[in-house]
Amino acid sequence: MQKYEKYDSPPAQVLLPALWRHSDTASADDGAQPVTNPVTYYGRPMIHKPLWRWYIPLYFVLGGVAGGAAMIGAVAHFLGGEKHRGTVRDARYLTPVIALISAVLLIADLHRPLRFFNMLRVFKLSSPLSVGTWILTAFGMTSGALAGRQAAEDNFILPRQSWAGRLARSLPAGPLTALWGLLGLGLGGYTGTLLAVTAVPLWAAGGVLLGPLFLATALASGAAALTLMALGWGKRGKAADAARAQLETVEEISALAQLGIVAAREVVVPARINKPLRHGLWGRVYQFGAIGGGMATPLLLRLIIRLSGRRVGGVISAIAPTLALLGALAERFAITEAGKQSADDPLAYQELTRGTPGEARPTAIEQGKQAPQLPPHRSHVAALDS
Amino acid sequence: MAKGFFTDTTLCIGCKACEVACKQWNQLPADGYKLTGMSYDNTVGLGATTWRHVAFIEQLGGQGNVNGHQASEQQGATAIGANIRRNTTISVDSVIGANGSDGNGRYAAVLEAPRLVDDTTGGFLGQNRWLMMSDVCKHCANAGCLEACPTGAIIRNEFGDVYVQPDICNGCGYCTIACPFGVIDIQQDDGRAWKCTLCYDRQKDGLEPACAKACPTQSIQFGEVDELRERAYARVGMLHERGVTDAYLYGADENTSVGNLNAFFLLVDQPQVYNLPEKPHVPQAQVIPAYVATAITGLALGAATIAAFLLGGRRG
Repeated sequence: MQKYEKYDSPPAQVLLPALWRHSDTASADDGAQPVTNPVTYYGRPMIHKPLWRWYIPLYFVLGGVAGGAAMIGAVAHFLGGEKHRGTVRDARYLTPVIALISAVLLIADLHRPLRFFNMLRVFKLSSPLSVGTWILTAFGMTSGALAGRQAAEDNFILPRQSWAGRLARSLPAGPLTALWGLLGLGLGGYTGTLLAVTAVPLWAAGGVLLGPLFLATALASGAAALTLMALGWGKRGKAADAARAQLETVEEISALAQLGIVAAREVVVPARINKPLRHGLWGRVYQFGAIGGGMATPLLLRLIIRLSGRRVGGVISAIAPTLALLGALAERFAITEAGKQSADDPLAYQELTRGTPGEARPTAIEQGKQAPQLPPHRSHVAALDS
Repeated sequence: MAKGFFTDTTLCIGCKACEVACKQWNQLPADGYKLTGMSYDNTVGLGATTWRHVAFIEQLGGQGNVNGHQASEQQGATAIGANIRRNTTISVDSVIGANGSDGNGRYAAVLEAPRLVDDTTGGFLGQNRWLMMSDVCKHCANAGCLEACPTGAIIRNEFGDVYVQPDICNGCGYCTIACPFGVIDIQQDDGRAWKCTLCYDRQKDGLEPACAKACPTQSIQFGEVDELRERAYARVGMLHERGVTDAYLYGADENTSVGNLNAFFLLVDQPQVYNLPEKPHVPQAQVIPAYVATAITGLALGAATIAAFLLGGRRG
């Protein structure tokens, strides 16, 4: 059924293919290099666009938060000392919950959800989706184990002295935490690679930058989530402030990294391919929501607070991390949805798959020269053979 | 040895027998009765329930681009039409002279069958070229869908072709965006990914695929890919000799990350005209750089986080 919707009302260029050719030339604008010889098949898409529903970009956000929180939680566990006890605890409780929600979102987006376990019958490095499935599975188990250990220590849900509590407390915190941090890194970064390793022009062009961008956003949103949680607990005092300041530093570094990668992406990705992130609804969401609201504004706010040298209250401190989280949301949704638009744009895909004559295959003239003359025994067309 | 298709677009008459035969044999549901209004192509493209798709390209006066070889000199298809007409006459003599003596007249059929262009100017809408092409899954040497599939549902079967095992596919949809040609798709009501199987079941019984069987002009030919390629190059040679110097094979001798296609095509215009990419990439060509870049960023950001905790601690 889905199929017919796309040509229910043919646009003008479908009815007037001749005009479409000219309008193609004209629309290769906004600084885009005009595609040499813009020819399309009635403006029809050359590839299929992603069928993902909103579950997937939402998962990208949540997975990023969990991954970033795990990275920070692991570093805080080993290096944070006494003042970061709360950070580690928050991260340990937060990550398995998010991992569970993520798994539900991912399975719900399958068109045959009951067969999700078929993903656990293979491991393929060539498929970031397969790698990601295993990362999420391992991450869920590791973070679950750490959360259980924490719960037993806190005598929360798991009674300390019960057999389960004793078992949980006997788990080795060090190796598990190291694994947790590394898997968190994988979880934060693989989603960008997942997008890059497709034929979708917007994701494939400059695709090596998507993993880094998603990872930087993951770390920023993980730090933001942990900051918000720390603020939410309402702990006061020098140690709590110091711990929060370190989380804020991580968030700022990540925001700077994000801005750098975004700028690099703008340089690398051809304008025609990047069009959905420059114009239209998702372009605005990306520019004003993700970059402006989620990366630049939190940085500016922090700068102003630091320059003013004043202590700020909890509510004001919560503005920047909230913006960072909303920015992550905007970024993931904008990039996913803009990717769908670029997949529908045949000229964007042509830009991605551009080649000079003779590069991809011998030109017609070369093929004509190397072609054998008429073969002695085989018929090309046996219309009269029978 | 791999089995595949050679689709010679110069022989296609746009009858869509391949589409129908494919639907019938594979019991694919109908796609409805919508008219696109753009051409005789109401199938629009390949999808979960359409494994053969005949494209109709109507090139009105002067639009035939023809790789820029002759078009640059002679501006448009009208001049090329005249060219073909002239060269054809020559090759009739040479062909019949050289090979016609075998007595069965097989080449005579070739000479009569494809009339690529009509050199009459004006006429109905000034139409002077009508390209038709029966598109299909290419069964790439390096198949993006196969590499992307996280369940291992997509395999390369004993005939060297890319096959989706319907009992394993869980409908994640990652293959649909990993295909550089927009072939494989999810069937909405069924929830699984489908595409041309190259009639795996028929091949197992030693039959040729339904589309090739049904094709009345042998535009679709089925066989060993190596042999088909040989035959296809001979066809290119024949067409060149007769003046269609824009004829070339797409997918037979590829220098791309996708590699050669088990289903390759003979085209007479740029690939884009047929909605094919000029230089397709297999998406997984990017997988190692992408992993490495992410890992490096991870190391850098991890180091920055550690530094923030070590150095920031003094400030606090």
